[in-house]
Amino acid sequence: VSAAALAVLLFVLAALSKSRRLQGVGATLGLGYLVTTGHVFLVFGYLLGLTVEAEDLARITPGLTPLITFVAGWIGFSVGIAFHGRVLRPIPRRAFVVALTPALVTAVLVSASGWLVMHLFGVTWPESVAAALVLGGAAAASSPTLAAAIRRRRGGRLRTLAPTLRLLQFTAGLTNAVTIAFAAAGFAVFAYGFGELPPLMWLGATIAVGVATGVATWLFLGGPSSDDERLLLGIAMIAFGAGIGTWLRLSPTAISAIAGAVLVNLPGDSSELFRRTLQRIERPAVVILMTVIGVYIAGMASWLVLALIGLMTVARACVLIATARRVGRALPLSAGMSAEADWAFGLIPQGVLGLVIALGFMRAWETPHAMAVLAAVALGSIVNELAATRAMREALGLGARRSTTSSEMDSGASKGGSGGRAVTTGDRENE
Amino acid sequence: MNLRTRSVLDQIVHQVLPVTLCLGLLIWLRGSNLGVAGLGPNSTTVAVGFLLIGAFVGGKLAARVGLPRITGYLLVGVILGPYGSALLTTDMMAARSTLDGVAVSLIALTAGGELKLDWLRRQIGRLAIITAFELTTVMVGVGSLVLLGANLFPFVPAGDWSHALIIAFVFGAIAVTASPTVTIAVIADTRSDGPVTRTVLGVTILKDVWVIILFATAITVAKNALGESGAGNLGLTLLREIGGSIVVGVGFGIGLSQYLLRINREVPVVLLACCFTIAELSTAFHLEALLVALTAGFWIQNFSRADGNQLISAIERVSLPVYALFFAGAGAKIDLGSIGPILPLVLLTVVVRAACVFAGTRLGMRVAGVEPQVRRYGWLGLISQAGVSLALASIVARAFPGWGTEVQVLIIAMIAVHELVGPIGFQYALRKSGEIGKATSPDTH
Repeated sequence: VSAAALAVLLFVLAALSKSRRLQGVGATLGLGYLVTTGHVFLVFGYLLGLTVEAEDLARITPGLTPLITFVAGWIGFSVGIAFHGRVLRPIPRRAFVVALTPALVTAVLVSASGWLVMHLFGVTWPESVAAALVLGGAAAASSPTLAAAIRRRRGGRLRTLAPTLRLLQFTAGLTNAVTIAFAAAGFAVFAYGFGELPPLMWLGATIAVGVATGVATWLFLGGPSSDDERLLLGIAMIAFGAGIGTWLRLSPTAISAIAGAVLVNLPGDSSELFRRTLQRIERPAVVILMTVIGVYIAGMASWLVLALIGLMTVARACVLIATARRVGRALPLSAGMSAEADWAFGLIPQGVLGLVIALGFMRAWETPHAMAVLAAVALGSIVNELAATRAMREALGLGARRSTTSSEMDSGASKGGSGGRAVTTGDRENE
Repeated sequence: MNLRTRSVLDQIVHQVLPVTLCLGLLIWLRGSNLGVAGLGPNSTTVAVGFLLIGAFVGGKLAARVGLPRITGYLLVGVILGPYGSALLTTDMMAARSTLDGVAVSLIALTAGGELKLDWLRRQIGRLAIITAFELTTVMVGVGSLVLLGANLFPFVPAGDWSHALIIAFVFGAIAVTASPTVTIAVIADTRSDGPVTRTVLGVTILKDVWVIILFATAITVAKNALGESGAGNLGLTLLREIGGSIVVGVGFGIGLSQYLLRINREVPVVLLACCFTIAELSTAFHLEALLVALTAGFWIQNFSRADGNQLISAIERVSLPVYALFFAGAGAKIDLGSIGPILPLVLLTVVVRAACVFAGTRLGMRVAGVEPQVRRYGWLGLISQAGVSLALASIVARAFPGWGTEVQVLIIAMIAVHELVGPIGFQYALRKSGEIGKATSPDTH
């Protein structure tokens, strides 16, 4: 496909998007939601990637590495900074069990199946184990954007659903911890492949670097600084922590997530200001990430990719829903949360965290198998996001007339974010 | 505990301690031989991160002692870079060029957006006069120094007047250059506005275009006179670069303004993508990224129905990290060690150039009849030199491998001094003329 063909295609799509009938179809499919989550840029990147020659991509890639590493770190940081002890402490333990069990079970089962699939396709140790862990981590992630958007737009009108949506947001945020843990483990196994240190030492290094970066950021933030200076400092610290991760072949996202979690739990309220300042670059970060991933996976088609997509969509959804239903039924909740009305369907949206981890893994390993993992996670996430809109509508009993339109999702975007802020009972969003 | 002790303690806890922690991590990383061991693009992010941490602290310290933040960024770059402590090696900085390209484009887009046609129409005559006087004086003054002091400059052949004249012409053409990026960055950092700010910005940009034409002429004459091959080609290529950059810039301007008018979503993302494309296109087609982006910004502000202030506002949201990264990176390229052996020559040339800038600008401003404070302080904004001069010097080195290389060494040393002194002079001028903090936010327009 030539660049000219892409231009024509985009022009035609832009023209078609003006058609009311097609807008209606788009709303029914939840395409507006894909703009909010950034997945539409994944598709754009995919189309763009078809026009880029392999040599050109190889020439541009080194220049993009710092940017990709930074974006990976930024998303990790925004995930970590949501794990605020002060907010999490009052939440009953039972809610943690309900929220974490489906993610953990899904991560373990998808990892195991992923390893088996890769083994069958001839992928050897340690790559197969590392890739399987990354795949499992990506499968565990759920995005709170959809729940946040519905809650923001309809929370007042659909009071009965509010506890379910609150649980979904809480769960989606908490599952990020499982994703981060699996990613850290996957990268530790990967780094071990170079024969320098055992995996446990690499895990220790991930935690140590994350903690050191978080403490250093906290110390810096204690001094007086303007909004612009905080932005500079934020970019600096994220690039530094994530950069150390890339240097050591560890997960930049995991290191930054640990740094964020450490920062937010140290005394003082500077981290809240810091979080708000960093939000200035949230959207560019997500869009860049999605486009780059799209470019990388353009034209990727193999039986391995197909098998892994199956794991990331059908198998993931089945395990998530089955586990979530069972746990939800077994453990009644309080604290304004409820696991009713088929809440498990709300866990299907995948978000960006899994994607960023898979991208980091692909950039570190640079093998066809790592590329296959990235392609499976990315393409699977599009399927998951599309399925999520419909599934949520059915599960929460939102009629077709009140379907989730693009305008609703757009207005909910700023509240949904990349996922990190949802590790709350949602009360902060109401304030 | 008194206030002074408290302030010192604050600095130790909130600056010295975290910097030491990060420094320790970096030193451990470099010494451990683990991972990618500092090779290739995988080590660039940590270098960029540490450079920005240094810039954060350096900028604050510089501001505290009344210096421009940019000087702080540059000094941090010098200290941490390959020619300073070598904590950040050339390998670690390898993949920074893309970020530099994006930064230059962002800075130039702002500059273009700041140039208002109404003001330009009213002032273009004055600006042209000031530019012409300053340009001629510096070129003649510095050229004369090379010619008359031929025995001081090792690259000027003794007794060969025609050869010496050509070298003086080329050297003078490079000495004329100023740095639009430094000018824009100081203005943005100090949020200045007023006659001095606008005049210096206008002259710097006008000079940037004229310098390329002048340099193209100088290099063509030199090649013809010295019987080098490809004389016409080089001159034409340089002129084509200007024309091509302006045409491509107009194209980007039209595209961006249409986007702002019709879609107007994800503006920061589109801006970043545009700047990345400008940087890549400019490298591929030998255009000047600065001129392309400048033209695009100017077009949006003055020839489209789109809201140019919205564009500037989107850039300003991220301008501090962009400037810090760009100037700290530029500082890392400064090799102060290379100045040592030729220090007297460098100082002599710098002083003569500064005197010529002073004389030419004052004369031009007197003829143009500008405001008294512009006449008094305007020249200080025209001292800085950076990327453009560096690029021209490397063209000379490539075109004339003998004396050209020696000219390049001297020019690089001069740039090192001008890069550090220029922002200080300009900030002083802005402070004295009372224009610091006078800029209104684009949002309020």
